[in-house]
Amino acid sequence: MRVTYYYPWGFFYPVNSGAAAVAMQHMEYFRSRGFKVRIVIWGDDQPSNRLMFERRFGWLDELYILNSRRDFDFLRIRTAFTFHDYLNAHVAICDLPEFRKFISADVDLLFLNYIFSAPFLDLAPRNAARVVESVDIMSKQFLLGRNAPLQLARDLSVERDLYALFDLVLMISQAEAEFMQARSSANIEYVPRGMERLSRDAVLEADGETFDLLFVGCPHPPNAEGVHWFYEEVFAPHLKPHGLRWAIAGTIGEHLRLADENVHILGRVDDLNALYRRSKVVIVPIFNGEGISIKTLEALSRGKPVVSTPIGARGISGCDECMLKICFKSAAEEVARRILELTRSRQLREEYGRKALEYIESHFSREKFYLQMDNLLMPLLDRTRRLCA
Amino acid sequence: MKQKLIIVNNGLRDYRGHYFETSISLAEAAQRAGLHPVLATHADCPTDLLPNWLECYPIFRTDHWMAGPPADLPDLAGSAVDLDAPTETSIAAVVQGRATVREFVAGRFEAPAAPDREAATNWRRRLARLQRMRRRLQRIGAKIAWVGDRAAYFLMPPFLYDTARLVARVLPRQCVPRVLRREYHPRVKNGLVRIVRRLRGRFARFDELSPETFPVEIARSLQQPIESQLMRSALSGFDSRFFQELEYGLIFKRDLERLLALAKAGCDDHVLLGTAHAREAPAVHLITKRLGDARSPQFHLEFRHPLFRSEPTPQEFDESQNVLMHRQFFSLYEKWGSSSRMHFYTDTEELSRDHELLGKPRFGVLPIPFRTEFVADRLPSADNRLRLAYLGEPRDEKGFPWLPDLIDRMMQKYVATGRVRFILQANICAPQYNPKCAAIMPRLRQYSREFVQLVGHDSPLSPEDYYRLLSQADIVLLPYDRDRYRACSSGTLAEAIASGCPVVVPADSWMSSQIGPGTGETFDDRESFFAAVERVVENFDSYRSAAEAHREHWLAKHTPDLLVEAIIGPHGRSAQARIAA
Repeated sequence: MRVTYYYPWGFFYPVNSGAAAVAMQHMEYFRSRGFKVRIVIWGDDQPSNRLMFERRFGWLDELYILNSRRDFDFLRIRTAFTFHDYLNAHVAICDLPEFRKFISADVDLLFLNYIFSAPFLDLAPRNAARVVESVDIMSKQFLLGRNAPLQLARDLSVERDLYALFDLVLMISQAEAEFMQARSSANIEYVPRGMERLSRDAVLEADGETFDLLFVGCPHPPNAEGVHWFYEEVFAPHLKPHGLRWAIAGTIGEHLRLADENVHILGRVDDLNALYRRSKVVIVPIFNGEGISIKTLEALSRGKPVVSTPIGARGISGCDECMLKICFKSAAEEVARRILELTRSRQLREEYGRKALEYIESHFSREKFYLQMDNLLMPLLDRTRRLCA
Repeated sequence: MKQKLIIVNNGLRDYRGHYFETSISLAEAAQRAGLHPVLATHADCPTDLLPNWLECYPIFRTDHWMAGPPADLPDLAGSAVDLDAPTETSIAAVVQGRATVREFVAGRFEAPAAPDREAATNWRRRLARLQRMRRRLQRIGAKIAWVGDRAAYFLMPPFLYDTARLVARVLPRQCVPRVLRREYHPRVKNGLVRIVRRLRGRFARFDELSPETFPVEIARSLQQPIESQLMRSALSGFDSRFFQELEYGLIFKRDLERLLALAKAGCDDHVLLGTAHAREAPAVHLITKRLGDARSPQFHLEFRHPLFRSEPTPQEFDESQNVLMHRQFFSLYEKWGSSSRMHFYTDTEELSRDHELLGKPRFGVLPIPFRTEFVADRLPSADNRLRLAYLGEPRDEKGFPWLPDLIDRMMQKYVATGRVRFILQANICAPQYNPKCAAIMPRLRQYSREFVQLVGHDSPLSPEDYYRLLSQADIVLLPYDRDRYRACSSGTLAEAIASGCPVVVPADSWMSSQIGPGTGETFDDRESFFAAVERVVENFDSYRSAAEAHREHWLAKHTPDLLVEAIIGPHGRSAQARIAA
């Protein structure tokens, strides 16, 4: 079984964002089922990243790297951050001769990430099944500004129409899947993210030097906005006086302007598991976002107590007992109080951690993800094959 | 692709009025009828107010009442909103392999401009150099001035220095004529513009229409190739008192054009203006002219507001500002030649008759839409007291100010003895337009909550809360102004009849013609209203059983499904075929 896979945000290994984590899981699935995978991906300027990616994915059948400088002015599109610019950018990518050749090669499955890559369908081989992982409802993700509702309405209608072009649309958020199912006749399915199961010992809090708070994030604008807000309104006035230490991991570090001896900006870390073990509480001070918060899921799967805004817990329902959801902006002192409570009581942290692990096990297990993917993809591929025969 | 029903309610910004309820009930009915519903609202309408499944465009800058200046134009960045562009590619064509995704995207969004990096960089560089030079010169000038000042300060005798400084401060102000002084420039400019406009207005003849003498949208229309002729003919003989209305009508037209382009409305689709205004008739007409019959959707304009203050009289016909304005716009519609793509309706026989007095267009009668499934079974009264309810937004014309007197009058015999209590919807959304309602609120608040329950103080009720209130009502009071409501409908009455409630309504009005025999009482004035309420309370059981019996008869005539069927059904526009009163 051959699949051509497209991912638009650069090398997804080392994992630097929620979308990259989703792509990694797709790769694991394809490998486990013996697919021959061809990947189209945007390259970045770091040769070391490419090296690491190629080492990790040595088993790939083919790798086509779009060069954002040579091939397309992708940076301009990323800065614009509008749905139609992304869509138009992908229309333009279709004009690249080498890309056309690569994407139209004969495969059984064309698997795209994000709906704005739908223009690639013009070049897709006729016999291939067409699947898109939406990740988020993009027209909502791009919602900005006071006149945005109108743009949202327009973009939503286009997005809804584009979903109809795919044989299968995967969504990682149940709420978004239901939202789109109500609007579109497309074959939209919710596939829960499968989280890695760790043993109790692997998630036990480490002794020795620890951080009281941890935030992990990529340079997505709402992350930086949330971290700055949290520092100014909660950490500096209420937590720092108690000597709490806050670690910030991930590529977001380059985009922060925090200079504080109690805030440790670690950047990209090699062993995120170890960092989770060395941290007492994970915070998610996010005020904008769509889909599902993968960083929150990840923290829960590591058995950490999570203190989050309602937006930070989006797409994760039925977990009221395993994490603290508080409206940060209207209750900054309450947030600080609950965090202090958690950092002071190991027993309380373990209680939350235990419930978090149970929740992940029942809702986001890896087995469920594999089973759901099998149930959806295999019949689709069989059907496509039969039609072609 | 499914046929679309585009519901236009430019007054919809929140739960206020009938806009939300009628829009949603119609959208649901359209979906049941196998249509694709689209809702267009005022630009200020928050989209989270509306259900997820509904395609919504908050696009209109003006509302029905012209209460405020037009809202800012919503950002349409990147949208292809040119009505004259070639027919766009539908997604169905892409699915069937007759078109590409590229063509589909091109039909929806403008193609991005190719970046001319070199030119942009050169231009930016030059500008930056100029700005740097200006800043440097400013700094040098400031330094020279400072050195000169310090030198004078230390070297000159103090009285000379102080005098020179005073003169230097005063002289420019006193010697330079005001017209040359910067701070007077805006006043002078505005004065000149006013004078020029007045002179132009005095000497301009209509055959020399200059766009500059008109408000923005009229001026734009005069320069638009297709509309120019029509607009010129419209302006000759147009009553200048209604220029502002015309301007608003044209703003509405621009927004409607954008909506049609965004929603991809075609000739098979229907557009329903649920609460239309006369100024919108020529506006829609311009669009049908521009699109032609082959491309224009069917437009259905429903007029719901009264024309005359009471029974139409020749005097009011000739003198009433409201009637003159309606006549002006309908005559414009006739002047341009009536359109087969436009259909006119009201929601009562009386209102249709009134509108037909204005000119040639015929007006059908449409059912009153509301979500009948929301009309729940009555919640029993916990204390066996009858619940007298006032529902809907309090307004002076709706007789809300009579209620404290009614309560006082019934206090001893009915309220204090535990026979009745009052439930009043009390959210006065526009106190400036309803001063009497605002004035009686302190009086209403003084009553014990046991006797008078006020609901929804600060904001309009959500539909759920409204229907919950309705299900708690045993008798619905509608002390409306008889003249104002002579011809027009009432959504509250429609819902009260649908829930089988006895009602008290004004006599000789559309409302009195709708209640069945024995289902309620009518009144002529304030005293007779009080007496009518007492009669219903005294004989509640018989009124109640009659109202229950009348309910089914009413629901057979007034549902959103019937409205949708009336405008798009096989009989189509023969919803002109009227509903029996």
